[in-house]
Amino acid sequence: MSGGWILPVLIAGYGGAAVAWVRVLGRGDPRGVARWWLTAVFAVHTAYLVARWAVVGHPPLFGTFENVLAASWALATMVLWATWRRTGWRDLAWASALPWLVILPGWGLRYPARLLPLTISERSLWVDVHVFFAWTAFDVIVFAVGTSSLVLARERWPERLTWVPEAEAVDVWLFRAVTLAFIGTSLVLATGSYYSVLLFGAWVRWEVVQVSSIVLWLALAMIVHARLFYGWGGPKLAWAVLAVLPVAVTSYWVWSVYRGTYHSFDIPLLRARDAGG
Amino acid sequence: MPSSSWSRFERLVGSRRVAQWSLGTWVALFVVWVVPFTLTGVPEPRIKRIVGGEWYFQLLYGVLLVNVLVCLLPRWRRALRSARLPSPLPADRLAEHRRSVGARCAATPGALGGRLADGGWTVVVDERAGALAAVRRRFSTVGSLLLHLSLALVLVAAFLVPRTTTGQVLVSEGESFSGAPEDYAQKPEPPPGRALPRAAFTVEKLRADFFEDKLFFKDLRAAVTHRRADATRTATVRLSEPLFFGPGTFVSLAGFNHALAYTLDGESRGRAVRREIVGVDSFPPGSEDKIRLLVGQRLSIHWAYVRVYPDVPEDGPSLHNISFAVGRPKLAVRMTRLLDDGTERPLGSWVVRLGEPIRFDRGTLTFDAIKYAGLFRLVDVPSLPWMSSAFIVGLVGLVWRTLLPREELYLARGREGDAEAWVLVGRVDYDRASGRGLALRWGRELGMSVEAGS
Repeated sequence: MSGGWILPVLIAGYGGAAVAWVRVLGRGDPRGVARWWLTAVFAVHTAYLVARWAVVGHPPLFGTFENVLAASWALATMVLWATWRRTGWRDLAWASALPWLVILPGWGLRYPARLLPLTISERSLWVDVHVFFAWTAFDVIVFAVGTSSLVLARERWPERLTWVPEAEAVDVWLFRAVTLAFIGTSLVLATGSYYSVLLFGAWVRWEVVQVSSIVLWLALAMIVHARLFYGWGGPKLAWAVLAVLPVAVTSYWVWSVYRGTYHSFDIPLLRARDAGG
Repeated sequence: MPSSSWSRFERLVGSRRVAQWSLGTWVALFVVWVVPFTLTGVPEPRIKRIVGGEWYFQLLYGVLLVNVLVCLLPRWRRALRSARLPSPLPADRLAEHRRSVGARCAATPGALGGRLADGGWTVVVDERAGALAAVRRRFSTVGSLLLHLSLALVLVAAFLVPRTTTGQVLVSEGESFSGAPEDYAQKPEPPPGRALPRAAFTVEKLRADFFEDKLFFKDLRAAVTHRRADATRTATVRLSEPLFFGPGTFVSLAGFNHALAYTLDGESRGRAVRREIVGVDSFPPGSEDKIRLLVGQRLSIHWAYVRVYPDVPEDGPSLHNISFAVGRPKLAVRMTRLLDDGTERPLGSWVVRLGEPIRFDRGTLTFDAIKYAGLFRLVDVPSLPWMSSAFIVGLVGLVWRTLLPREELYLARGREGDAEAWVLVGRVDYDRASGRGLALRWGRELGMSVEAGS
């Protein structure tokens, strides 16, 4: 089992759920087909992750392939939770997460699905906790960015986006998402820094992932303060959240294309017969 | 400082505007400068010097610290003092509040207040005006206090960061590290007033597991013994599981190498036999390290340049290595003698197995065994207790402030002549927009017929 087949399945499955959701959008609850479709794909996704975890012996956190699986699984969990609990923000969750549920597995196709044990630097509960909070925070950032895009789109095309909830409610969810992202990013930085001391004797490694994570944390802090101090809401808040997107993408994914970071784990495997000439 | 001057200072330096501008400047400096540096190959120590040592960054940190302290300390005092009771909100103007909710209920203010008190609210009832106000989670501001206090702790810890001392030592199985400066492979330079990390241990066993035949560690651990409180203790040390000798002093297993046990018969007449175990930087296979040998009665300096191939099944000169774990090892050795003018004279090259002699000049060198050696990193981080405290205090504050915000609820009689009409206003201090949801929820909890659409 290496499991490269899972990504095309997820792309097709989540893509299909997106189409089903768009077709019923605006025709009222319960969006039955889309909901069940998403649940079925999610079940396959979960079963694959559990099986992979059992075979390889660690949670999916090593290399780009496993991380796109983990990140997309976390996003699908958020959408399903919002849908089955019939929250007021379920359509926002669908609209925010579904593009990523196709993009992320698509991105993962570039990387090998090989089954690798964890290398020694990753064998720690600190790493598990760090990654858990990272994908949780990424989840809510995706939600916040998607919701912000919809807020701005509704300003431009109000007649086409009548299904987007009223502005005040959206502001509440958006601010809660930013707050959760701030908490999550704080935990990611705290656990990462502590582990960095254990590994290297340094709280901060001045490399792109950690530096951009600090920028992300500061930017989220600014948005929180802007809302609390100056009552930012509506398009202003939405633009501020959108401005965070490039930093968030850099922080969460740059390691999968740029090797000059301690977060890069798509390791080329040198065979013994090729070592030492 | 006179109170009016203090107020001006507080308004100027402790303003929210300064806080936002400082944060924004910090973000901008990182985005346009530090992040590109990390992507363009600027060495990490240089970036560290810029971010930690340049005056404009230090000015920024100073402004932020003063801003946080000046902004928050007086506010906390006021906030905590006034936290016990709901903020004033005139009952006769509740209906004009933009998040007011209409409700119907036959109960009196006193009865409603009793129900709220049962729900954990502190209630102030004004029977005459037909109104009541309630508050709960009144110490939510303490969460904010803790969060910002943690930033001050981080700053204290940051001042201690330059006092971190790191050293490395290569210790093979069965060998000990005494903590003496000369035992370090890479001797640390402790800052003035700081001693070297206090750690002494013996490596009993070292285990290295590789994934298949790949240069990929599945496991690397050392069983070590050390003295603590007059008792000998055993511990397992890994890269991710250091052994702590003090609050900020620990040793971790940071790397892997080989140690060679050799016998040098330095005299052709068979005297002056020397046996030694020496750690070499020979991993991964192909890496060459040299061993200094003193040969002959004049103790002339020779160098043995050694490469270790841990598992070569084929005999003869082949160096076709099939594994990173030690199986049937071979050593590729070339010998030189150091001449008086400082140059080295080559004496020959050999490919040998363990126990096979290498004869050169007037000596014979035999490698008897290959052991695993661990590269141990000894670290003394005086900032560890401060930074750990900062993280814990900050996270507690963050969760307290955001998940348990201060809530206020106001209820007042509505339309004149309608005894059952009520107006409700909810306030959530962290999340103002959700105040209406609070009013709706608690209106229902109180058994009122809430007009959700109002």
